[in-house]
Amino acid sequence: MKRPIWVPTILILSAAFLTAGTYCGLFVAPAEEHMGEVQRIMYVHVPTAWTAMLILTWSFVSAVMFLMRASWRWDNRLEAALEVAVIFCLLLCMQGAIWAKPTWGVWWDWDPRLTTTAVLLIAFTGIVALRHFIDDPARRATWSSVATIIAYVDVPIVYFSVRWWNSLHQLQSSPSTISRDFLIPLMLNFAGMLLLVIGLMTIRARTAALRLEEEMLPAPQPLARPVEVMA
Amino acid sequence: MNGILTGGWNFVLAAYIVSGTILIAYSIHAINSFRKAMAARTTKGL
Repeated sequence: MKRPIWVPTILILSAAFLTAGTYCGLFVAPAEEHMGEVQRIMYVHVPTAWTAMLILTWSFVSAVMFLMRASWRWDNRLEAALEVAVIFCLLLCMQGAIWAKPTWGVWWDWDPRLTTTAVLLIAFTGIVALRHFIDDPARRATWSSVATIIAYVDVPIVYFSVRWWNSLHQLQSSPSTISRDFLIPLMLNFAGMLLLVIGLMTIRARTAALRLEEEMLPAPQPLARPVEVMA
Repeated sequence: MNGILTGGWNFVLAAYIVSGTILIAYSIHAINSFRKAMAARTTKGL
């Protein structure tokens, strides 16, 4: 297996975008009229949410493709997507809590958006754990694919929760209604996170492929007859 | 109380530091795991 040569380039580009986005978000963009400086959290929270939704959708695609084609390549992609999805969901909940304290006065509330996101984090963490518990690669791949498809049902619920129920969480904004000063750091951070995720999922999928290759190796056979030891 | 938030830089910095730390830590972990898996493969002569 070849080392992914283009991945370092993607990771360096991602670091450049994230540095520029962070600089613009913290020092260039003006404070928002009502939320003041706290609104700067949005430049990292919103791109995290968009990226998390994309990774979760990719994990769903990988699960469906594995079940349709029974190809290990798709199982490796699923393993990579699941792990990165858990990291992003965890990040989303932590950033949300840091945002909630100064704006809502509490770190956490059992609001529909927060609750459904927490369910998503728990469900996908459970699938990652499930993969560690099953030794047989074929069963592990099939079970985790089915579990991913079931857990993915929560993704549209998370997205529409703010419209379906009376939620503390604000509705989605459209980039067309956001001022350019606010949009630039948002998009720079989104580009950076997207590139980071592509790089990380490529590395993680190749690690999964290497581990699978090792797992599939035939076990050493016992010797047919005992070796005579010469005295 | 006028509905307008003042201050809050500590929360902003906390959000950025937490995000940066988690992303950098996971990136290092992913790269190290890949290197270990490649090294193990080379050792076994695959």
